Amino acid sequence: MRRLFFALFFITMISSAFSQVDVSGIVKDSEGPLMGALVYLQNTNIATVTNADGSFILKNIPEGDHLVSVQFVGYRSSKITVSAGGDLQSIVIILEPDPLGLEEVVVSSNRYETDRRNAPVEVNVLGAKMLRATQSISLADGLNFQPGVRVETNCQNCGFTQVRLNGLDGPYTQILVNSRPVFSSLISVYGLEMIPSYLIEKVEVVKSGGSALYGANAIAGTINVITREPVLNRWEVQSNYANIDGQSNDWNNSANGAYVSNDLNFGVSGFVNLRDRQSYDANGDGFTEMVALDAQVFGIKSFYKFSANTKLSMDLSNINEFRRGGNALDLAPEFTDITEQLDHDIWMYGLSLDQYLNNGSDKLSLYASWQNTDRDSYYGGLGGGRTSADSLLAANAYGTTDDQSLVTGLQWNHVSNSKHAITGGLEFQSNSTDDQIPGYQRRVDQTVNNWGLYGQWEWQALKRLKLLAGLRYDRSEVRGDYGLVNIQTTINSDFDILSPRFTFLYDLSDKIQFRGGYARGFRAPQAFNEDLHISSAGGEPVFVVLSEGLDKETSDALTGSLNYTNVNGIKQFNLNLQGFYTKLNNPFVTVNTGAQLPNGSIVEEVRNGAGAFVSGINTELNYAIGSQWIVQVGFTAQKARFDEKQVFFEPERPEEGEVVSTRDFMRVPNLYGFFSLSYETTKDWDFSLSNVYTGPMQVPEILPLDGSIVIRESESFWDTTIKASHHFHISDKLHITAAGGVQNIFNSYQSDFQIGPVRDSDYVYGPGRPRTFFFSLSFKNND
Amino acid sequence: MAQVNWLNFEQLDSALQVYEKPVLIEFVTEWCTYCKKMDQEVFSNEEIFSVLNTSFYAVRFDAESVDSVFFDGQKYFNHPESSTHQLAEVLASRNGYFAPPVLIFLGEDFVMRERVFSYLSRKKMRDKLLLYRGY
Repeated sequence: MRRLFFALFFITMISSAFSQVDVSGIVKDSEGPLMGALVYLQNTNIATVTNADGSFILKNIPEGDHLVSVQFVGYRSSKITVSAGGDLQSIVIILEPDPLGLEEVVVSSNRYETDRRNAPVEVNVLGAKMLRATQSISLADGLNFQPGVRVETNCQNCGFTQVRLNGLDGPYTQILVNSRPVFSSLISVYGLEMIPSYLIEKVEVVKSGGSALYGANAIAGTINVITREPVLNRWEVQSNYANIDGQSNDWNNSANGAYVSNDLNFGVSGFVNLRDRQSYDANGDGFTEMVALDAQVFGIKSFYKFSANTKLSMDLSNINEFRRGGNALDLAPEFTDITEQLDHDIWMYGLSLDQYLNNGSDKLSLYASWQNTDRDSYYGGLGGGRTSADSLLAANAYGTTDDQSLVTGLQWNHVSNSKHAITGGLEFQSNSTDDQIPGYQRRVDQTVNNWGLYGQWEWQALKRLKLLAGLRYDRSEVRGDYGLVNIQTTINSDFDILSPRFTFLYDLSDKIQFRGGYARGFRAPQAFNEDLHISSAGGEPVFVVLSEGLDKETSDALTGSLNYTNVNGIKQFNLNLQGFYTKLNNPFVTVNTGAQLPNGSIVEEVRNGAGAFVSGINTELNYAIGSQWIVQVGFTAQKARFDEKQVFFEPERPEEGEVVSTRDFMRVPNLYGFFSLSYETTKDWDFSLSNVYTGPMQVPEILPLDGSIVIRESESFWDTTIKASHHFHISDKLHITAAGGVQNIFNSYQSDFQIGPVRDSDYVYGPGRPRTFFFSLSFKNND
Repeated sequence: MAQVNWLNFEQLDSALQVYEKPVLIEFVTEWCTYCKKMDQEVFSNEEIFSVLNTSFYAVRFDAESVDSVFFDGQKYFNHPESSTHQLAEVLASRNGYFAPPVLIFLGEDFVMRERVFSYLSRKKMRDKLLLYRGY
């Protein structure tokens, strides 16, 4: 009897024996008879399998009406009502192909978090495992471990970090959370540091233009943070302690948990994160190199499925962050030489409704997210002086910012068989920022509205060739009033822009794939995050203003990549070479005009600069032996240059110094990258070694003496982290993980910081922290 | 017994020689979150494990196990070209693709009744067990 087991798809079998009627028929698809389809009477044990000619007979079934079901792998199942009378019934059943298994919304797991999708657009994936191995507390720490991505601190006073993709700075990159642009331009400056890494399932990085779906201002690319979707009922409590160069303590404590009902129709998850970091002074001048941080973050997320096809999700989060840099942190800001102090209160709300239609081949998503930030700031201080004018100015350096953004849209996805996938949508984004520092007579009042309409079509044109074409129409309205003492700029700019994108994927063989593409993008003339940030030099604040008549910036990007994958059992090898070339037209450039306002403030102006390009090669190599050994290497060799010499310093009078101009982009090394090696024993130990390399680059320095600029070449850095962790299975319901290690073990850190109150606070580059010892402990109920 | 009495294929082989019962085979992997969820929420349910233990033989198999399995007079390996075990490839793949959990319900006659390529909630599992328990 049991021999039947493995013949079960081929052999007819019959059961039950008390009636006289037979039902026969043929099962076909559009191309002819199908052998091996399972035919059965619903709610009985009577079943058979079709023969080589597609025929079947169900013998000895009771008279009356029956529901006959036909199932075959790769086809949609079919049901037909048959009335079994006295005569032999003959029926023909035609099955429709279902190559994607769209029949049901299937819930199952997928093996590799770093699996490259079979998409024409190259996606690099940073997984949760890598974030852990590199002791990344926040997203900002982990992003360095992606080819072509560099994260750097840009200010000693406020510690803001910037992400650079392929050498293009912050605002060229769009940051998405679960594919939605929830970060306004203001909070994306600090946002990278505010996303705790344990919430992240993976980060998907698409370089050079991203896709039509996510907005055309992703000139350098998109960073899409996919948060963990809870499945198990879990809780986790974690504590991380780090000691920075034997001097400063950095505590990061968190708790998170999730509940998901057993039918998976309802789920809720939440987290709380508390961070308390002391400031760090590298050179003993009493001024911070790393700012003090005190942050409380919490979030809650839930979903409810009205049916298998309808899902409603809601989320809410609050970030409360205080940071302060400069000197004499224990005094009120106005009694210090330099203080930058920011107190953010950020609330984010999101709502989305997903509806599957037509057996899952169509999906409609309606979504909205809203963000509100209240910020109290202090940028200033006595600047080394002790005159009454200095005191008056210092006492008035308090500012407030109100920032709101709304994103809402409707998206439709359609997949028809496996050949075509179509996505279309409509999106509205609005961002208004009101930033005021009355003491400096500084005001930014800006509203940017953008309507986007997009479509994307993915087509499996040939067995080996997949094409993707996308088109996005944007209408942007920028209304801005920018004031600084006697400088007034108004931007009142409305424009329409069409951004096309094409990419293709060609399978040269089972193992080698070639991708190529073109994308167009733009950035609206507006104040971005960095423009709202105020640094200091020579003891005076440095402001950024927008020049009159600032025009939009556009880009044309070309990419080509070659991907080699070889899977042999548990060994996975992947090599990816990606070439990129992005042309920037009218790029925004910040020029130091040498102008000083009557109150001493220094002015930098955003202008449309000469044309420019970035080009280079990203290399990425991954090798894994099961989950025991994982090696990842990524290197970028690139150039970023203006078409002609670009002025960075333009003194008003000759005695203020020479004009400084260069064709090179600032802060873009020609060579940078990372490697990481991790090893997991079968005895619950994990070891990892990771390193970020930053090659020499050009960094501008404002000299404290006369305010003139010089361009320096930085040294190179090897920022190496080692980590070991051990897992203790205390019981089925309690697991403890202890970890420890050293970040920047060779203390590869900038050595030529300026000192004292007159320092240039932006003259900072390289690794974000000196040698740091860390230890962490986590308790959780699940592995 | 406060949990499912899971057998392996060899144990199933001997058990069937003694007494025939319907069979549930679950294919899991160590990284399959939904398998864990089923373990914690479905198989831990008293009604479900008592029906399983009395009316079924329940087999759980790690689809990435490297041990060869001797079953029904044949030997199955985890061959080196793929990390998935032959048994999972033969029984639990769809379109050449294996995505756990996969559940196979067999009748007392050892003929397959249904293959489920998805997580099953408590209610759905209960319904299927009652449908396939054979009396």
